[in-house]
Amino acid sequence: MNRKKLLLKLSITALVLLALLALAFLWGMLAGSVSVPAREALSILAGRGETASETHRIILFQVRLPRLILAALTGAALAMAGAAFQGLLRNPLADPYIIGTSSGAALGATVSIVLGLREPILGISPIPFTAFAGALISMFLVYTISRRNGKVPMDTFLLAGVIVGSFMGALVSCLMACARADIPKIVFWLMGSFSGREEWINVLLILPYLVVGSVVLYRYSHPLNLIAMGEDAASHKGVEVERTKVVLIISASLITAAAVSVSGLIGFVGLMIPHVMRHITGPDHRILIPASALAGALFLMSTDTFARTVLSPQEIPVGVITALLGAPFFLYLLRGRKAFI
Amino acid sequence: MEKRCSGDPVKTALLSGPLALILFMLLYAAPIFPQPEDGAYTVKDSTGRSICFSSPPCRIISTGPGVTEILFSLGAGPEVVAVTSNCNYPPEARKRVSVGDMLLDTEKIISLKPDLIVTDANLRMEQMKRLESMGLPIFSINCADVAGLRDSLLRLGRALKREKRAEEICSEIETRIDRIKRRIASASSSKEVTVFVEIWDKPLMTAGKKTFFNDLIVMAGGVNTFADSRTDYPTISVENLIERNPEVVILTTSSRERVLGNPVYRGLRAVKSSRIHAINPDIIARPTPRMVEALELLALWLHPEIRSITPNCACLKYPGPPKTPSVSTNDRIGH
Amino acid sequence: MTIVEAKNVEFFYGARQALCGVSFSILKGGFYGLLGPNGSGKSTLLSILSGTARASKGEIELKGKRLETYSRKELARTIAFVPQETDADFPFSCREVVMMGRYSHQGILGMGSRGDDAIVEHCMEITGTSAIAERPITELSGGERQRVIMAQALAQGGELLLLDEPTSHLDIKYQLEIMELVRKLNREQHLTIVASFHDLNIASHYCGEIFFLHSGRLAGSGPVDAVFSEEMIKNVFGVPTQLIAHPSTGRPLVFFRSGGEEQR
Repeated sequence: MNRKKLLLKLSITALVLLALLALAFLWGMLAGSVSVPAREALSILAGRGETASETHRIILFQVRLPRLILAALTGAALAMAGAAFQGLLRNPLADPYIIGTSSGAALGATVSIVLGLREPILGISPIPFTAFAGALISMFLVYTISRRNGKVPMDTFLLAGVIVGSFMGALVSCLMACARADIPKIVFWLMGSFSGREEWINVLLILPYLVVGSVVLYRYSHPLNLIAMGEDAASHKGVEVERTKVVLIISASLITAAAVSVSGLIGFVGLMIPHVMRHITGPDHRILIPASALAGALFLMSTDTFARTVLSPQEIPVGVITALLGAPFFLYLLRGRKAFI
Repeated sequence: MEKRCSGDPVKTALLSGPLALILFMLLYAAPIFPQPEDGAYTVKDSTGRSICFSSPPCRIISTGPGVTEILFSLGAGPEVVAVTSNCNYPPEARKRVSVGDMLLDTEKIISLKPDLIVTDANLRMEQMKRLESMGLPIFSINCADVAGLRDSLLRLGRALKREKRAEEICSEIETRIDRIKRRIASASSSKEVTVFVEIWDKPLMTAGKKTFFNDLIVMAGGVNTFADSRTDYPTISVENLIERNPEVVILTTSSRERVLGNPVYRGLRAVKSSRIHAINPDIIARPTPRMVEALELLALWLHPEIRSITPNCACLKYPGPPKTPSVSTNDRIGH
Repeated sequence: MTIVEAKNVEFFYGARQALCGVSFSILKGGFYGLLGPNGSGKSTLLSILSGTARASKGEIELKGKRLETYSRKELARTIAFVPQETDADFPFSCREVVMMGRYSHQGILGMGSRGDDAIVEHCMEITGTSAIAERPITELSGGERQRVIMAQALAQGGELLLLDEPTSHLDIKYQLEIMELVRKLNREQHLTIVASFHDLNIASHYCGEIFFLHSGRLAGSGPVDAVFSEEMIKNVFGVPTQLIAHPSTGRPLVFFRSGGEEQR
């Protein structure tokens, strides 16, 4: 596909998704457990809200805005990582959690909670940091276990991910059994939710990894196309397969780790979004990856808005909603056209 | 062998057998029937269960922090042989053997041969049923609210033969509560102060109307901002808190600095006037004699203009360990 | 002109020796067939030539330069490899698949190479796949898919085309179609062909030179007429055969003898 055609397709996809994203954003800003009249909200957003109450202004800019942005960034991260792993593993049903980084993050967070590291370091809660460290350790273990003769066979990689993931999960259960008083906190963290995390600091924590990771990921999106057709074939066409794989694995894992460290385990986004987008945009990762990012942001932003308004003032953790959506999604795949899978 | 008349030996056997059996059972079962021996007495617990004591229990196991505090406040500290790992008050309670936290170690409980296990009537009902079916003596007290506290103190007082002490504590608690109520009633600002109590931070949780927290707030002359919630411990969204804008915020989990520094709470009245107070969650969560401390603190925070309420944090004096133990808990094996 | 020069190539799979001191030359424009039973080293040899595997011992020179010194992209611009089968897990269109062959000429994000579209179009015409250009590769038959992969290989713009058992897994019609295409590529596009076969007759029909491999050794090499013999086949494959000349082409035709026929 030549430059012009690629840019055209990319632009159209991006425009449509951005428009939807803007609508979802608007909905998220206007909806919430406190009803801010639409007119007032719009005027505040437009910058002409001098007459609006300060309470409403704070709700919009300090509660809803950071939360929407965090949800968008998390959704984008998970969807992009999912697209990358589906291509690497040559499996349109792969999930970014399958390689164990999420369990490592869970362990990191659990250790932090159990040790009672509550008080902030420099005003920031230590949990995202220990979670991220856990994810990195997990990633390192998986890579080391599956590396053989300088190569990383994807089958072994997958198995190593499952092994490390289950081990980390077992450790989490063990810690939960030893520190039963902390179970509610741990479970809440594991469930994946944005409530209580509407702080700008969380956005700042995830942003650098997301930006760097996605740039690197995108730069390798074309070799990923070739690898998705077979590693040997890609090698014959001139792709440095092992190096590309390592770069892709590391950047996708970092993106996943950052997202999970900040938001907990929100499932199914990394699986459903790229899978669905592939049917809309085609399997070319040069379009699929940015499209998944935008669609992931759109999806998680909307789902979170739904999660915090449907049973207002109670909030359902967004991870619960995505999990509930996952089952009918799979059912549809099973029953639908064979070409879907 | 000469033959005897078939009736006699058989009759004897037939009669003596069951007779012996009955006698045996009576002897064995004697303790079940309350015999009017010297010093024996019966006390009913809060669930209506009748427990018979031949003498005041001297190997008591407490299954919760509130229960422990009540036991120690009655002076029964030396008789308490085991507590749970959450029992942190009074300090010497921490030295007792632990039988678990959320889950109780049945084996350990049995091995300690308690002659009384005191428990909160609303908690661990399954576990208590199991222990009871093994023949262990369970005594339930109602630890849900202030009335329950009084009831618990008096019942346990009867069970431990410390009625006088129990009455003393009850009357002191009543006196202090009355004093606070009078001071509040006579205060210039009779308007009720809106209060938000934070039970948990992530997720943000508060207490509804039918909770002890709510009772304390009402007694302290305040109104719980979320008294209208449908559940007892609702998780609420930050937006609701901002909208309802309470005048005072009581924290049990977050730190004061965190709340004051968080831009999300910038607009709250309570933040602007610095009426954010962190309280020891133990004294506000457990209906125990220490609740008066909590009440006095709350009253002071809610009505700072009432200068004359000085919280007495030395509180009720819990009798310390006697110089020589009145019973040697090591050699008595129980009933 | 020699395009590939191999000297004493050895290869070990762990302890097992797959190639034992194989030496040969491949001349430009030739159509070479690799014949031998399973385990004789055919696939190993192709792997080494295509750069997937590295010889344990020995030297291989490609266009006068040692094979190891080529970068991945340089190699891809010179040698193309068509495997026996291609997995298709993702529904790339045929055009996209063929375009992947241009990778070694392109820059980041597959940009920067002029005339790629025209080249891809051309390759698809030659291989007769223009009609199915927009169809997803996942929906093609085996024969169609193989032709698309050939177009992709052609698009690499190399001089040497390696094929691993191009006729296996295909119906007869597609077998001949593919072979005709390969012959066309050899004659019209001047590609040097090295292909391994199972079918002796197809090899004899199309190839110019044959390498017979047996237990990792080169049992014989040379022009078809010279090297095909009942004795050679007996040595390499262990079966008795009878050879006659093809009525039209004069090439050797191999008849297999089951040993239980009646002598007429």
